[in-house]
Amino acid sequence: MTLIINTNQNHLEKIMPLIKSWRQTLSLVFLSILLSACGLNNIPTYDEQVKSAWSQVENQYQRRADLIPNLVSTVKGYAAHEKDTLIAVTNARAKVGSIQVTQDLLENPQAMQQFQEAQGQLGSALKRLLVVSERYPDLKANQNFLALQSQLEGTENRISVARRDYITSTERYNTEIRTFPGKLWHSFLYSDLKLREAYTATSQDAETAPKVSF
Amino acid sequence: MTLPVISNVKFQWLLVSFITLSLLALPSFAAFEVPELKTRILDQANLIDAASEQQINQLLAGHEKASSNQIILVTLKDLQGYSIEQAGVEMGRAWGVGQKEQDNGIVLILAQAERKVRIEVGYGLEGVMTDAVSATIVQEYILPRFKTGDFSGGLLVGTQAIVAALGGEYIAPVAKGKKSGNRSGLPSIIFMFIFIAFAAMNRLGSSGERRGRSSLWLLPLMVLGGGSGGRSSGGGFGGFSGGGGGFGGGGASGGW
Repeated sequence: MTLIINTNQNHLEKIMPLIKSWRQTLSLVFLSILLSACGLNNIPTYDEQVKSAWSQVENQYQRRADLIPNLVSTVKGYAAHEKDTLIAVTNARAKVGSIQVTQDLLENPQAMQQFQEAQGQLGSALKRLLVVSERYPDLKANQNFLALQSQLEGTENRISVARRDYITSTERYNTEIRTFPGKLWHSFLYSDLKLREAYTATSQDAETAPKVSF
Repeated sequence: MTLPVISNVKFQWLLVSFITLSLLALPSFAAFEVPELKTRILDQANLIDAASEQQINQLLAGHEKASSNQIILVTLKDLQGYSIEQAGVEMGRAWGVGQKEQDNGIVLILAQAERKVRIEVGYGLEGVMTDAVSATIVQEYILPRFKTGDFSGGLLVGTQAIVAALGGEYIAPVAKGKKSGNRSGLPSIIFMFIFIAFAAMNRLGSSGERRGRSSLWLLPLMVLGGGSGGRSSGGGFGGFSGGGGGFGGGGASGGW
């Protein structure tokens, strides 16, 4: 890009008064369009999009956490002796709550990983709770439980949509920094904005369904 | 002396084409391939009979007129290996179902091969069409009819239930003629540059006999022309087009 700017300036200084052919003028204009449309602002724009995508992820996790007390108390009424499962859910939720959710989670891969692990544990504890509740016909017929169950399913889906959006925005941000025009802007202007970690599966058993021994 | 000149020109063109290519080459992500939407009802799997289709279309058109909520009905032959939840979000976003500011769109999806149905709810309607309401409509209105093979009936009753659930509760402020989205000012910038180019050509091309400001009057026109080219794509046929609503994965699914 420096090369282009230099030739551009040279052209302007030396040739501008002497421009004869429309071809030169046109290519000059073309180059200046390219420079202005080259994505000077792309990196900070994409950075903001990553941040807002991440806050959407946190938002949906919070929504899930908010559903839990109600769910636990409903299940407790019908399946009181599933103590272990209920306690696991409550504990996992407490652990998630104890992690400080701040903006610098995004800047701190280690804290991010902790957060993801805690959310993953909560997710699998919840899955187990739903599987266990299949065993209680009365519970399954309870309108309140059905509503909570559908809300929980919907929220899990919202979480996965939000995470996918976050991954997509991170990918776009990183690609912009690593590929040609963006790479130059990055080294000139935005070297304080670092590449971001695209995140991996949250827990080892993220892909497998929870097993319940009967 | 000709050789370096040629190579210089070639180098320039190479550079220019390289930059152009790198600008055009957007990263492409493998995702659900969204079919084209021309009307409110896209019956790819051919499951809806003509009478129901007309009835549903009337209902949905009337509801949109009254409340600006957009409801789309889709039957798909298969989900291309994706989950119905993922397909739902992709379709809702790609078509921009719902108005841009309100995000008040709903997509009712039937996947024939996977035997799945889903109500995908846009951000703005998540408060009225909660997951629990969506799940009730799926479980109690749609699925019982699907189980007996009555797809037209299930979809008709399903859309009626959705409209009833929305029933006047969400009446968005009427915002007609405000559909044009804020596109970037790029077109007008390009027009500006073209204008400047022409102006420069006029001046420099005929340095002896100046032709005056023959094309200066075009400038405001060009800027205006570039700026007001709002979005009007998205559908067109039969007066239907998505308004640019957003989706975040709300709704409920079921299988039969």
